[in-house]
This record gives sequence, C-alpha cells and structure tokens, in this order.
Amino acid sequence: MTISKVETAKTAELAKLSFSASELTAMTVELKTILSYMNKLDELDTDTVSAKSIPDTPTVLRDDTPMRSLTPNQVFLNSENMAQFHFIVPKVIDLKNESE
Amino acid sequence: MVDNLSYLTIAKAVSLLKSKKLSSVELTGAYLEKIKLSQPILNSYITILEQEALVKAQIADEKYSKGTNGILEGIPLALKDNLITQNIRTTCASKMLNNFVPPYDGDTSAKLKQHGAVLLGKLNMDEFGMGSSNEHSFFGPAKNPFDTSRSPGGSSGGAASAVASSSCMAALATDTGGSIRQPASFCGVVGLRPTYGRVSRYGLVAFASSLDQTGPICKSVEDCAILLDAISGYDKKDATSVNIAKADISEISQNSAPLKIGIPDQYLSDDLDQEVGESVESAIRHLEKAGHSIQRISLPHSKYAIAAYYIIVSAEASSNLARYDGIRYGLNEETAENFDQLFKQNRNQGFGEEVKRRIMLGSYCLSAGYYDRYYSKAMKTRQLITEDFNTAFNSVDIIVTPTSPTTAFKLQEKQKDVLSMYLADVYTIPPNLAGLPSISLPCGYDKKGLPIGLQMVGRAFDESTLLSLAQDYEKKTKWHKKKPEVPDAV
Repeated sequence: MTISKVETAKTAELAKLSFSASELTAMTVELKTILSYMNKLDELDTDTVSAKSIPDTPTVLRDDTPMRSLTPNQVFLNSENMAQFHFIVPKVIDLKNESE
Repeated sequence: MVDNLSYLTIAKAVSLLKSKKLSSVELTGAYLEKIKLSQPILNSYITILEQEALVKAQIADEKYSKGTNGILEGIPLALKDNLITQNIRTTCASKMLNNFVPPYDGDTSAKLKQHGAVLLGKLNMDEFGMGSSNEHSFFGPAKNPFDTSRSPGGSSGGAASAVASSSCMAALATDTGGSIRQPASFCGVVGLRPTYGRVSRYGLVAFASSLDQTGPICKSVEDCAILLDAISGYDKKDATSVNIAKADISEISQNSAPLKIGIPDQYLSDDLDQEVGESVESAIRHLEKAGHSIQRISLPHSKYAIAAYYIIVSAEASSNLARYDGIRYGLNEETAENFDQLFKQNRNQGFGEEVKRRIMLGSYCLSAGYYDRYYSKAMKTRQLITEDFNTAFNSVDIIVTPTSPTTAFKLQEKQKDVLSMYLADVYTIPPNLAGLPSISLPCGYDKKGLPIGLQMVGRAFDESTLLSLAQDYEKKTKWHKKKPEVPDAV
C-alpha cells in the first residue's frame, strides 16, 4: 500500500499544515519511501497479539485536591496577541449566516 | 583557579567544594570562560545564563559556609532545551517556541534547583527531539568536539557536545529513541536512559509520551548515578510516574558481582561498521575476563523495531504537537482571515521540515482506514519486542550491544536520506519500546579518532545492576579518559 498526492493533501488538511504544489510532491515521495519501509511489519502475523499501550506501569491518579493555578499574568505571558486578558483570534462565528 | 575542567567530575567537585578547596564562583566562572571559547565553534548552547549562574554560585558558596548545602550545591550543569525552566526561555530548538518563557518549572528542573545546582544554560537539540544528528535545530547544528565537521548525534547533540568539551560538568537530556545514548556514544561520554516511569515527565515538552524519558549525560558512570538519584522519584503530576523505591546507587562503586551477560545474535550484523564491531567484541571479551559469563540470546522481533517505532512516535508526535496553534503561546506573526488559516500559517512557519514530516506521517497512520494497518500493527509489534526482552531476561542479567552502528557521521551526510537517518537508531530503539533502562559508555575509538559507544540494557527498574557493571567496565578501561582537543574560537 502506498500514499497518493491526493492523500498527502488530505493528511496535510488533517494536520493543519499547508504545502505548495512542489512541496506536496516532495512530501508524497518521502512518505512513500518511509511507508514502504513500514510495510516490513506485514511479514509479522499479529492476529493473536494484543496491542501494547505503554510499558507495563500502572496509571496513577492523583487525589482531587485544589491547587494554586497560574495567575492571569502568567497565562498571558507568552501570547503575542492578547487584550484585557483575552486571546485575540479571527472571528469564529459568522453572525450573518447565524441570523439566516 | 580551576586547572583542568576535563577530568573534574561531580563527585570530585562536591568534595572540593565541601572542603573549601574550590568555590562555586571559581568553578562556575571557569565553565563560563570555557563556554565563551567553545560556543562559537560547537554551538552547544541555545541560551547561556552567565549572570544568573554567577549569582547562584555565590549563594551556593554561602550555603557551604553555613553547612546548608544540597547534594548538587554549586555544581554547574546545563539542561536540554526541551526541559521546562521557570522564567528561562525554553525553545525545543524550534522557531515555534523561539520566545517561549515558561511560567513554571518542570519536575527535573525543580529538583536540580532544590539540590542547589547552578544552571549554566539551555542546550541545543533537534527540534522537539526529532532527529539523530542535531541538524534539525532552528539555531543551527551543534558540532562534535572530536571533529567539528561531524554531527554530535541527536537529538541531545548539544548536551553531549557540551559535556565532552567541558562546557558544563554534566547535563540532563531526554531520550525517546536513543537521544541520550547515541550522542553520548558519538561524543565519548556516558549517557543513561532510566526506566520509563523512573523520572517524571512533567515539564518535559512532549514528543512521544509513551517513550520520552529524562536522563543524564556525564563524564563518568558515577556522575550518571548521582544525577539519576537527584532527579528520580514519584511525581503525582505525571500519571506514568511509578511510585517505587529509588535505585540503590550506594554500592555501584564496588566490584560488580559475576553477571550473566546476553549478546543478541541479531545485533552484530552486516550493517555494523567493522571498527565499531571489533571494539564491541573486544569489550565483550573484557567483560568475560572480568568474571562475567557471556551467552548468545535471541531478540527475533528487533528487526521490526524501527518500523514500529517511527509509526508510534510519529502518531504520538502528531497528537502532541496539535496543541501548537500560536494563540496561547508560540509563534504568531501572521494576521489571518479565519481560524483555520491562522492555525496553518503559524504551524507552517513555526515548524521545521523534520517536524512537519513526522506530523504528516503520524496523521496519516492515525487517519480513518489506516489506524489498524499502521498504528495498531506497530503497537502489537511493540508487544512482541517487549516479550522478546522478557524472555531474554529470564536467562541473563544485562544485555550488551553497540550503541550505534557507526561512529559520528559528517554533518549533512544523511540529511537528504531520511530513512538512512532513521536506521541509525537500530540498537537504541528496541529497549525503549520495552521501557527498559540502558546506558552508553565509551569502549574504543576508530582510526579517525572518533569515539565508539557500548550499550548495556538492564531489567526494568534495575538501574543499580546496570550502573554497577558499567562502572566496573569504566574503572578497568581507559576509554573515558580520552578528551577532545577543541580549537579555541579566538
């Protein structure tokens, strides 16, 4: 199985990345090479094997106790686009369409 | 004055500081001088903390005077730049985080502070830990101090380069597929990857969460043990941190008891560089002469490890790096008409080529119709590899292999051939998939004078046996004593 240019473009959309036409061609070639190496796993019969999640360590949950969280100043310290303790983003809701 | 930083280890320095034969201000000043000379040539650091380090060194000296010193008080260390440090820029060598200043400390950074260490700076690496050469850094590659035209390895290339060139006494780095041991091998120093769950991942910027682990790169096995003791322990902020007693490092300096050492048939293969193979064979004979028994073992599924690993890490990376939208933090230099465009613009400009490649590979492997074929298959393969190790450890105590199939390669040599770069991790990936502790230490030099690394792999949470055997080997050999001669920048 291999990857087509259309599938690379669809994957880029899922990954929130965009590529020029030549970059998309180059990425498709690279992914084809890597995936053809990954196909080596087809040699293995894994029908009766259960998938391993992470190394055999128990997942520990901490007690649900209140803790001090970051201050607003700390939270917004690294944002390049903020005003009055709000993050500025492009408008998400289109009011015109909403009203229709 | 500090005459020779090259041979000064943490253990020796603590003793000198305690007896007031040396002050932390002198020691830290000597390292800062060394960094000034080495940095223009080696590019080991991304951020150098000159003033902060000297202030901390002064406080350390006062603590020694009062007898309130911590176990690493006044010791000048450096951190890989994917370990979160409060109020100190943490970039992951990415344009995306070029200006990111964390408002909190990660667990390992907090522990080093608590023990009194002096932080000299943050070290160069492959972007987000993705790479084996340090060439995928927004800040340019770190260089190998044994030959500056060669890679120091990756992704912790800056850490290995800095330790080998005595630009810090020791460093903390991270290892997902070999990122501590391969650079340690390339630069002739010692690198320990602890058992998964031994050291908290809180504040280690996530690349592949089921594999990432923090560990030390040092000049000696003993220093690795000291730093492991300082940073390990249960952390309730990391759900995969294991609540288990720390590794007992008190007796690692004793001669190692006779052990059963396993050599995997699959590992000494045709792909192995001849000189690396000869050095590793020689190290195995040395271990046998020292009283350990050597037996051949089989890890039949190891040949599938790289394929499984790159599916798993890419899948986890694509998920972990989905958080970078440039809104709450990270690169945000574009105006966009809509949210989708903003997201894409910031990611396109913020991420480098290798990071994008892995996000694409991971997104593809996790997408509808391909999950079972790739991700699920890789996780099942991971299980088979783990079972191979479990079987092997029924009959042996330690497994020995080369760390890397070659010595340090030339910068740009593998940059065009992505797959050949991935294949360089052939020996370090299998134990990581099984979550096992492993160490790389010098075991020889090739004809070009480049270091060769020996990898030892232990049972889960048995770092004591691992460190004990490694130190025994180190004490009886001379390889760790060879130091690079880095030309001065001026």
